[in-house]
Amino acid sequence: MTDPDPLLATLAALDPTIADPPPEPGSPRHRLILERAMSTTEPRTDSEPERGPAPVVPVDRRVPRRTRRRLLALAGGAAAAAVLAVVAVTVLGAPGDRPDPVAALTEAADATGDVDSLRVRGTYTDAEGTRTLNGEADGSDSHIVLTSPDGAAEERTVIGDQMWDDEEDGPITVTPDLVNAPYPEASRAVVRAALRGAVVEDLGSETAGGVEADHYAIELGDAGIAALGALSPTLVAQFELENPAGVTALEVWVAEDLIRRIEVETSVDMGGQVQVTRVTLEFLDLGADITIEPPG
Amino acid sequence: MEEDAFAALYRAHAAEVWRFARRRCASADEAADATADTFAVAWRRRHDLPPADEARLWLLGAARRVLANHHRSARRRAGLDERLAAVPRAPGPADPADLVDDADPLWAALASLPAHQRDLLVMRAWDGLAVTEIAALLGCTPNAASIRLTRARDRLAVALDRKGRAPSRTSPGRGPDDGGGTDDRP
Repeated sequence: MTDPDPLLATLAALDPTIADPPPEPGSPRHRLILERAMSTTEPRTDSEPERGPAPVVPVDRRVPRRTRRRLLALAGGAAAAAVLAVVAVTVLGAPGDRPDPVAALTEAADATGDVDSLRVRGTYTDAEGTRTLNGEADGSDSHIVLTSPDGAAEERTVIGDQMWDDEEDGPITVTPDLVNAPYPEASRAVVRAALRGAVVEDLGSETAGGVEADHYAIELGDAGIAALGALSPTLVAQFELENPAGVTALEVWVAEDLIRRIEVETSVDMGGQVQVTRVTLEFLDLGADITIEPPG
Repeated sequence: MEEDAFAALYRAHAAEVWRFARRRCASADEAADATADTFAVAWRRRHDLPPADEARLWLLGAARRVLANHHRSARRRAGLDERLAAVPRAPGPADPADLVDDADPLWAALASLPAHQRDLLVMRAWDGLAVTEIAALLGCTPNAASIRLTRARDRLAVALDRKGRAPSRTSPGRGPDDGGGTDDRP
């Protein structure tokens, strides 16, 4: 495997097994290892995992929220069904009242990709707790503060090819392939990829980022999963979308033809224990006059 | 699982398990021992091994535990040897730090990292494991593995720079939680 990261690719060249390969299949040494393994009758030791290291198998995509909602409505009986019907009318409205969801999302993704500056706030929630993000960006320059569940804050500033973070005394040099793409560019790429072969549901209007926004749920199809998987890591990392097959919910809020919020939920089966991660990023002050300054 | 099926499992995965061990051992002989012990675990557990497509990670996880036991045993032996002062100390546990060619700045940079960060980089760069697979082996979330891996990579880049050799096309780029397929960065 050639790692796309040049540093890791260079490191890979130092792999000692390049010069010292394993025994050839069929060789005496190869057979001996197997014979020794199969001759054992020792009791289980602490080397043996109870059920092995957690296999990484993305869980089957869970019942989509839409379906779950419908099932709940049915279970709730006639009253719930009636409520659902009212909601459905509200959401769907009369033909022509609401834009086509796919077209609306595509336009918003493209328009958002053209945005130069914004502020972002978000949350990353998993079994370890919730980390909060606050930041602002001007082009590829950015400043973010990430606060851990224990209250510890990490701060990072990128200006041009210089980056400051809490763990370094001064700026270090970065290259574009080693930093995340700006939020607008990443949002455009992710939403456009996700829309391939997707089923999009219009969930109506609600407030996002302080404005009234149209809320859409994207149910990924195989094409979308493949397209997301093909994106550069620098485009998907902000949304923790490195494992698109594990996505259980991907929702987008649009206002004034711009993406205002993206929410991604992923679920991975860690050896029988499902790990759920939810990322919510909200974009504010799109196009505002923002200048990123070096840390004082 | 019968003998034939187990032998097929061995043929399919022996080389990778051996390499996994060799990267963490000082010699091919030690790697062979660890490989045999790993498959011994699998043989004893052959009736409840995971399905074929999950067996690879299961075996690597078992290898990791086997190696940890080997290293603990080596340390115990070393301690005993010290007390007895009778025989030469057993070889130390396998660790990239022990394999360092100080003349190579990248080796030296790798050796300067904490063991847990070296382990992450070895899993990624040498074992070729995906972040989700590393997470499975470490028993953490992919996000957490991503964070740790990115930190390790950045530390390596910084260490390399400080040793006077800029990495090709790269530098201590991403922030500690930043960037790439191994990224956690918001």
